Amino acid sequence: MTNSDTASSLSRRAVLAGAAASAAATAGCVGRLQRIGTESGRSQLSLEITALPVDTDPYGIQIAQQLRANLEAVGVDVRLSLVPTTQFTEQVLLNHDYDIYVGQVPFVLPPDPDALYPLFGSRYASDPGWQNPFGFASDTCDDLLGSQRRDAGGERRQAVTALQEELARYQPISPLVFPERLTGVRTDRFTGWDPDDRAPARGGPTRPHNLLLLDRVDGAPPTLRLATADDRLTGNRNPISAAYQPEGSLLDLVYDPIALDHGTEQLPWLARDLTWVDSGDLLEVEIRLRDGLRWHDDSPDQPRRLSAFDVGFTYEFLQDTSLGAASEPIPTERFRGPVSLVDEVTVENASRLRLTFTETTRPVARRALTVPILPSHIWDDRTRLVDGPNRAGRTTVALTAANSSAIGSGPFRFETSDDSSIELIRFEPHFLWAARGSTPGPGANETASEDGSPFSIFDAFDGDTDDDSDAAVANETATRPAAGATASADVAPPPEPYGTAPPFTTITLETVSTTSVVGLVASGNADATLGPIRPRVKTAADNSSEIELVESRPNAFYHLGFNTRREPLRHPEFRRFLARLVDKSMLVEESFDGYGSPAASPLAETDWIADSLRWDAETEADPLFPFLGSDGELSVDEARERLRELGYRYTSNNELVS
Amino acid sequence: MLRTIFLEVTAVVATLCLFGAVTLVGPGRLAALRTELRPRLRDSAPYLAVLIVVLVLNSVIRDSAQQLSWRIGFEITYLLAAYDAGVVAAIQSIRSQAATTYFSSIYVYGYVFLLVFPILAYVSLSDRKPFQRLVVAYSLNYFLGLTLYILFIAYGPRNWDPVLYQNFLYDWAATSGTSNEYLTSEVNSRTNVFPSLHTSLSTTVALFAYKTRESYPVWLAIAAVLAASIIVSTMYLGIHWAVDILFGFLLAGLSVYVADRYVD
Repeated sequence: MTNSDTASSLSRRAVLAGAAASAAATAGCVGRLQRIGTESGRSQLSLEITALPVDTDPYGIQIAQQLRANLEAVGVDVRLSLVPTTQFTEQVLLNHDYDIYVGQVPFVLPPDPDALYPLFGSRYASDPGWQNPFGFASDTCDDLLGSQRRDAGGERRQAVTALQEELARYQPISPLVFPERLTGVRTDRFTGWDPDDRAPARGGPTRPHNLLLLDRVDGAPPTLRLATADDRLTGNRNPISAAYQPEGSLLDLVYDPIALDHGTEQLPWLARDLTWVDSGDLLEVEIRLRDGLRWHDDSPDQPRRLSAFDVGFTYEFLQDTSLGAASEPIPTERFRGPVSLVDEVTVENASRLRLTFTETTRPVARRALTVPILPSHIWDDRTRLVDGPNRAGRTTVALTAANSSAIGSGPFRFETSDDSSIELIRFEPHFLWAARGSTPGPGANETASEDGSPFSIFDAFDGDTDDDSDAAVANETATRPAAGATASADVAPPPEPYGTAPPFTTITLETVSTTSVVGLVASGNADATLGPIRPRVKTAADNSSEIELVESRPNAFYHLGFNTRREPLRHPEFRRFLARLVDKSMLVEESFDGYGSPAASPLAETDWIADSLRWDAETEADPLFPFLGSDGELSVDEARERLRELGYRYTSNNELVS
Repeated sequence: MLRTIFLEVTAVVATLCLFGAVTLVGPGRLAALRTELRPRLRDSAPYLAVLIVVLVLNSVIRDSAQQLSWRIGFEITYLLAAYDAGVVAAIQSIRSQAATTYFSSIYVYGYVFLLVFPILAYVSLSDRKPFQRLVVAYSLNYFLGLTLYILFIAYGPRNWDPVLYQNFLYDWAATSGTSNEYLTSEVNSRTNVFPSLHTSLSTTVALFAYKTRESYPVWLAIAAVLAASIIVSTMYLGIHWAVDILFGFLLAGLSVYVADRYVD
């Protein structure tokens, strides 16, 4: 729907009794049934709620149904639209064509507060992707987002606290529930699923890099079979285009970052070592890459090595995928926050480069090291400008390409896919295991260091994200001896604990519905579920000794996202009212079967949570905007009274008009 | 995986057809087929060709039709839910283990049998009209159904509200060790809800069974019971809304009427 950011377009949907066929179609949009003949100019306030169907997300829809029922009770004309993830991406993230959506943020790990920078920064309000899809603009929030980026220690903490309070006051989103995820796993082929058994654990059992640490039961075939309800990877393997999809897809095993988040630390990944230079007003990191890094399309005839030029290219490219061809930069649709931290990239030679950061601190800056490194020989050809099929305005091939062959450098390479499944194969020359000769692949002996340094140097990260007092430590290069034996003294050892090849050579991912996901695991056709499953998986697990349930807490909290470009959602007081129509405690209890916690801040599950926004366990109510009712029952009279106070009126039919 | 399920369905349906052929069609008609099958098929070739084209079209463009649908179609789940008037919830309230097993099996196996057996039965008749009309009616059902699926996008009850509506097919698949929900979710796209092709095709077969009751009196009873069960099962299993069923009836009526007029 084009040009829909106007108040008039909101009054478009009243239901025309049964006369579906007579409704006029609006070209170029999912058809809306037009209201024909409104009475006396004043039309009922109408809102659309966008949510995913049960097959894709069994929880969000229950939130949407509660909101719908309560909005209808106060006289709003509500339309609940169920859309598949591709449409959700298009309507919410790319075209901002929605009123209210029910969804999850993509965070899997507890985010650094800087993750809020692109999410709520007004400079991102017209950009596609998880960049302020709400169109939210507040000078105060912008200032605070900037401060938390620049400041360290107590000052940063203050800024983060104030930021959360502002966001709570203005409600561009209404945080609802942090879900607890159940992952169904089979133990007859692979064991060691629970990351809590391995310190330092982070992410759930199916976080891609956690899979590398599984153990195989003797005699079991070396194929890891996963089942998911998220069908994105079967059709689109583009790591930089916007998608409504949680972070941590299997693509993380196809593309390598410079450094990998591990526990509260970062491990140098493609980097052999990292040297931070912090001279007060200038923060830099010197990156020295490992030797003998290869792309998946490397072959004896056509060597494809990953060099510092690829890394430099990636950072430039993510800032402008047209590489200067467009009048305005067309940046990546993902990783915008991390990429915006990098001010300058200096490639020194094939294995060394330096990133210079904007004014920020080291705990924030290191976020930039986790973006996927792209092969320049493939993405260089994708700078051409195109009219986005699903995006308003010009974009580039890089952002619209499906990237089917997904050439990366990661521990697994993409092998094949069909409508409902994909297959990844272990990349034998990967640095994690090639150097050890545990899985001899081509070129295992070619990894000798170029400069012949006698032992490897790691940058030992302090890894303390939650206390910034050390953020300004200057010119620090900590060293530690190489862990474990290596085939050659010159070769940097792989980062522990990832140094041994995983006990499987193939990963298959089967796409089905959230209900069938469990069926596949129960029937022995899959080893683990990826993504949300329905709570009743418990019965399947109780009935089988081979299925275990592993609990984890992704930070992908459910929330109401408001399109603040539109009437009446542009008014903070109206959004605050909407926030009070959902009983978060009740949701957790009934819709999530207790698997989750109600929340009032996007940072509720981090140590950054503002004291004023902690969930009140005693009253079981939101500290700022408690539910207008009790035990899930809306107090309709009270809610209507609130609306009258906001200046709305009721017709004789109890319809809400402005 | 999908292949084993198809094999399972094929095996069950083939067995049922064989049994039906012996008991309902009878040895006499079957024996005649040995010489008559070819000329009969040849005579009906144009109709069969149309059906095959429609079926191939259906499977080829299904994915792109889906995308086209989101561009130009009407999203009507909320309307179907609003005008369901509690029918699906009422049908689901008869929930029981036996009902779930019955309706799930009927939905998966009974449906395929109901569609395949008449082809066998009518090709065994010396009168070619019923066979040709049936083929035309099938073609119309599929063609109009596909068109309506492009124009109207909707999800069924089980996708609309997991508290109000249950997904019994899943329960059955989980307890019986088969994965039929997998089958149906793959075979029928989740947004192909309006109208119910299960209803329209089952009704079509039942209407034909009524017309051919003199040749196959027992089949009329079987077809009627099966068709009714399939229609109820689509709602019991949370796949279709009552409105989908209603429009399924209309589609069936139209298809049979046109087939009668066309093949004369």
